[in-house]
Order: sequence, then structure tokens, then C-alpha cells
Amino acid sequence: MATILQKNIISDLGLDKLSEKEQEEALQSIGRIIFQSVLIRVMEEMDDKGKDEFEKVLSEKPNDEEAILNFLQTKLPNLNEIVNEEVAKFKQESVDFMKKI
Amino acid sequence: MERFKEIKEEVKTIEEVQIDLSKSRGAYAVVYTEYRKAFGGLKKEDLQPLEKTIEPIRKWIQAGDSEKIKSEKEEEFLYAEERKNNFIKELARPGINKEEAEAIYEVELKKAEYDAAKVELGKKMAEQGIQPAEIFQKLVLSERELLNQVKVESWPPKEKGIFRKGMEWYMRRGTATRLLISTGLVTGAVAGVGGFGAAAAATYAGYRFVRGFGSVMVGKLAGNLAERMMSKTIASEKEAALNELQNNFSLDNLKNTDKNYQDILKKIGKMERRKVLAKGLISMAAGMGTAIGMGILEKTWAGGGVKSSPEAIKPKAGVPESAPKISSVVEVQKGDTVWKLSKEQLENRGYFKNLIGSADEITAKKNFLIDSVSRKVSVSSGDANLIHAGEKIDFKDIFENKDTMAQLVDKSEHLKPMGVGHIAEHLQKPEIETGAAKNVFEFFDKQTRPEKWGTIQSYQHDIDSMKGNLDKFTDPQVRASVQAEIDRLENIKQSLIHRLAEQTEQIPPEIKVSAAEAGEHILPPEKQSFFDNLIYKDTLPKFKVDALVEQIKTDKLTAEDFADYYADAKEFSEGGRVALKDNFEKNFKAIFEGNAKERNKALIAMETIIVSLEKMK
Repeated sequence: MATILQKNIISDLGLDKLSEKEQEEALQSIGRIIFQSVLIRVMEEMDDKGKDEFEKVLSEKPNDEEAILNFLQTKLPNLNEIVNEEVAKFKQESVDFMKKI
Repeated sequence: MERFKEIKEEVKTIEEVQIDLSKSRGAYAVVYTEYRKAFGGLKKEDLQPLEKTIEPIRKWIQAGDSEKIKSEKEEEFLYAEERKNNFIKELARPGINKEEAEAIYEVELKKAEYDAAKVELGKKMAEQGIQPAEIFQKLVLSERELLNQVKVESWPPKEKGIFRKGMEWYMRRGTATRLLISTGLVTGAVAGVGGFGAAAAATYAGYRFVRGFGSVMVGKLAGNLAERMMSKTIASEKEAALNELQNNFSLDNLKNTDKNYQDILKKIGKMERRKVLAKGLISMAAGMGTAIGMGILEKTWAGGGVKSSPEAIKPKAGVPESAPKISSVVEVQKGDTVWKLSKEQLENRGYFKNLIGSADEITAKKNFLIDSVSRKVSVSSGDANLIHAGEKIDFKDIFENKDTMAQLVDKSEHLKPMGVGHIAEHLQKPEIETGAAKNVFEFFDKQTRPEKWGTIQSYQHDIDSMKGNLDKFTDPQVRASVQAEIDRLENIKQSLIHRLAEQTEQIPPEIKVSAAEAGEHILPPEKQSFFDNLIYKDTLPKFKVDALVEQIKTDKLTAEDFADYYADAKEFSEGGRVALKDNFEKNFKAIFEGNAKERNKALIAMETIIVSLEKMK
């Protein structure tokens, strides 16, 4: 039994009926919104010192993905958990909403 | 009158429902912001327990109670009031004070009413025949984004600034990369890998997401995306080239014009073939869970809007014309390596300036150039791994030969996109992170993971995996692309075996050949140990030995320390520890000061004692 995290919700959301271009736009929005939610959680869970350091890494190495993700992983060992929770939450809420209408 | 009111509510127009949604969103935003201002942020230590408390008592939260609590109808008012009191009473149990409990109630109630308004509007839209996807975008995506904004707006300026920078970082990650990440999340193909984190954190952030993809659907989507993007690029490149040709058209120069036209056709034909190949490779890679070169996607995406000749506007890599800012002859300082010096030479001569591609592609190209120059350097010991402080190294011959350098640059520019990641993994010298590894064993534990190094076995694994999945593809072009990739990986594997064999000349040929054919360890299984990993395993041994020496030097390890570490790690007896110490003391000098042959001999002697001690355990 697939969890909501593993579930493919493309058809639940009706995205399969969209043109490729529209699919791309919708998918970009989904990724951006989930990332926003993750970032909000990250900021809520990080202490002030961590936030200062995070700002420093973002300013000094804005294009170094590895450095930024490594930093987050070090500061928040539960980062994967946060991501998975936010993804699951987004998917569950979306599917629930679409079922209600 | 009341009855009339109810009927009137049932026939609200879509515009009225939209207004309701807007109002309820506003009300929710206000109470949420007020709550945060009054009681601070939901900190990590409070968040989960609070949610656990609230979850079972949400039954007392009923959309519409905001109005009912103000209602003049006694029954409505009493029920609504009772629900509110029950909720607050439950919150008091874990010790939340009344004031905060009331604020939480308001937040929860306004959220429920906002959600109900969304559903109501969604139903109205559906009744009007609006497609589910559009409803989803409007009422889930847009609304969610608005709510996120509300949350962030309630933060202090500093936090808001960090959030903005974080979002900028995400948006810089390349359109195609972000699209594949989103697709993976929505389809569940990257479930469990921690979408934005775990898999991405290690080495090639963007690639790692894609490595986790396991769905054929994602593969198709990614492949179609690649095709669409590349078609766009090809069309614009063709248009730009033809426009240029038209602008330069002259009756006096028909011969040249015709040749230019043929060149354009050839170039476009090449791009078309590349497109077919890329589509197949990307489909396959995304669908099968292997690493793909995102650079090709990003590059083609970025190139979609080219209006003039791309050659004219893109910086072109090549042999720099300006005078170098560095002397060709370098005196070796303590801590120098040939790799480091080669890198400095290339950097100061401007070879890295105009490299194009994604960050990972550029790293791979740099590493390719550094590795190539390192191999050409002539040092007094005859072994590029063994240089001494005070020794002079001359790079003149390498850099003065413009043809050789042009060829190297050209090669680096034409690293196959799919190979970039692998090449980077193969050629990049491991960073000697003194702080990161507590001792040499931890260091090598990190360095010998196959996924880090791209071993013969890992290539074999990818090849087998692709062969096993070949039948899944019915499109002949895709099949051909998959087969081409299998051949390419096979070639890399063979060249790795060859390279490995070259560096292990002291191993008897029969072992070398049979082991190499099997894609396995060069040494027979009974001899596999720390040091056979170190010297002979299918990675680049010179870097490992170099790293070992550096690590021991940096940590100022004596033979005794080293023996202690090793004996502890392997749980050797006290006798074993002493034997190791004696052996290491004898061989350390050769390892640090001997030439390549002496060093190898010393390492083998150390290995022999370790193998013996392991057998005695």
C-alpha cells in the first residue's frame, strides 16, 4: 500500500488533462510552493545562531548547492523528515481538497 | 425570514463565494499574524506537542462558528459557545493558558472557515464546468502561496531577508532541475529520499534527486521535456544562423554562401541527432534511476531564446590569448601537490574563465584539464605523486604548446553530457578534509564508497540495469539511445580497467587479466584488506596514497599512532598491535621519503602484516 508520499497524484489533481506546457507550469508552482513550506519550517526550527550562519552561507555561496544543502543537513539533522512531512502534507491536502469538490 | 435567508445563501453567485473566500483568507491571516505577534513563533520544541494536542480536538472547530457565536439565535449561539469552551478546556490540560488557548481557537476556526470557503468556491467552479486542474491551481496552489506569504510577512525583517535569499537560491537551480524535482515529488518517484535534502546534500545536489527517480512516467515526462526544450533551441539556432546568412548574402560570394548553408544544415542535423539521443538518455535515466547530466537540459532550456548567432554572444572556451599571470617555473613549497600546482597554472592562465555549462559541468571540465596537465608534468622522481619542497617544476613545455592545450580545452568542452558527472567523480582529487575525518580510517571509509568514486562495479551495475530494462522501451530511437549509452558505459568501464591495470604492474598478469575481466578486485579475495583497497581497488590509487600521506602528515601521526588506530579499528590483540607498530615503523620512512617503487614495496609489506594479523584473529 503506497503512502501518500509515494503516491502519484498527477491524475488526482487533474494535471494529466493539461497540455505539456500547462503541466510544466503547474509542476513548477508545486515545487516552488513545497520548497517555500520547507523553508518556512527550516526557519521556524532553526535557532538564531543557525539563521545567522544560514544567511552567511546563502550570501557567500549563493550558487554552491552542495554547501547550502550540507549546511542545512548539519544544522537540521531532521531535514529529510521535514521535507517528507511537507511533501506529504501538501499532497494529502491537495488530494483531500480535490475529493471534496 | 430565516428560511428565506438560508435559501438566499444556497444560491450565492460564484462572485459572492469568491468574496467570501477573500474575506475568510483575510480573517485567517489577521488572527494568525496576531497570534504570532502575541505568542511568538511556533518553535521546534512546541510545534509537534501542540499539533498532537490540537489534532484530536479539532472536532470542536466548526466552520461558521464565527458568525454563530455572534448569533441572536440562542440555540446556535449556545452550541457554538460550547464547542469553543470544550476546545479551550482541552488546551488547558497540557498547561496552555486561557489567553493563548483562545488565540489558538481563533486561528483554528478561521483556518477551518477559510478551508470551507475554498471548498465552496471549488464546487461552484466545478459546477460551471471548470476543469479540475484549473481549480487545483487556483484554489490549492495560489491560495497556498498566499498563505505562505502571509506567514513570512509576519516575521521580523531579518528572517524575511533570509527567506527571500533561500527562495532566490531555489529559483537559481535551473528550470529543468526544478521541474524534475517537482515531478519526482508529485509522482512519488523521489519519496523517501528527502526531496530537497538527503540525496541532494552529498555531492551533486541537483543530480541526486534524479538518481532516486524510479518511475517510467517520470522518464517519459523528462524525455518529452528535453525534446521540447531542445527543439525550441534548435529552431532558434537555425533561424539565427539562416538570418545571419541572409544578412551576409552576396552574389559575389555564392560559393561561400553555399558552403555556409551546408555547414548550417550539418550543424542542425547534428543537433537533431543529439536531441534524439538526449531524449532517450534522459527518459531512460529518469525512468531507471540512474544519474543523468542535468547540464544538457539546463543548457538547452537556457538557449531557447537565442536570437542572434549563438557563437557571437556566448563566451567561447579556448586557449587564452593574454599573457599569463604566473611564472612557468614553480618552486615546490611544503604542502604542494602536482594537482594543486597544475590547477594554479590553469587558473592564472585564464583557462577556467570561459568554461561554460552548469556548475557541475564546469567542475568536471576543470578537473579534466587539471588531471590532463598533471599527467604531462615532468618531476625529478618520475612520479607525479612524489615531489619535494624546493624542487622546481617547469610548466613551460605544456603551456607553450598551444596545439596540445587547444586539444585539451576542446576535449573538455566536448565531454559527453552524460559523462560529465562520472568524469567529475573519477578525476576529482579527493579533498583532504582534516577536520571532517577523525583519522585515516574514517577518511578512507568515506572515500572508498563506490557511489562516490564510480567504480568498475558501479559501471557494471548501471550497464546491467540498463540491459535489464532495454526491453521496456518500444520506441526504436529510444532503444538505440539506450544501447548507445550501454556501449558508452562499457567503454568507460574498459578504460578504467585498462588504467587500473597500468597502475598495478607488479600484480601477476594472470590475476590482473582475470580480475579485470570480471570487473572485480585485482587481488584475489583472500588478499583483500585495507591496503589492497588502498592500492589496488578500482579507483585512482595515486590519489589515495597521496591522501593517506597527507592525512598522516597533517595529523602528525607517528607509526605508533597509526598502528593504534588500525589495531583499534580492526580489534587486533595487543600482540598484533605491537607487530603492527614494528612493521609500520620500518616502512613509514619509505612511504614518506622513498620513490614510487619503494613506497609500493613498503605498502605491500604493511599489507602483508595486516593480512596475517587478520587471519590470526
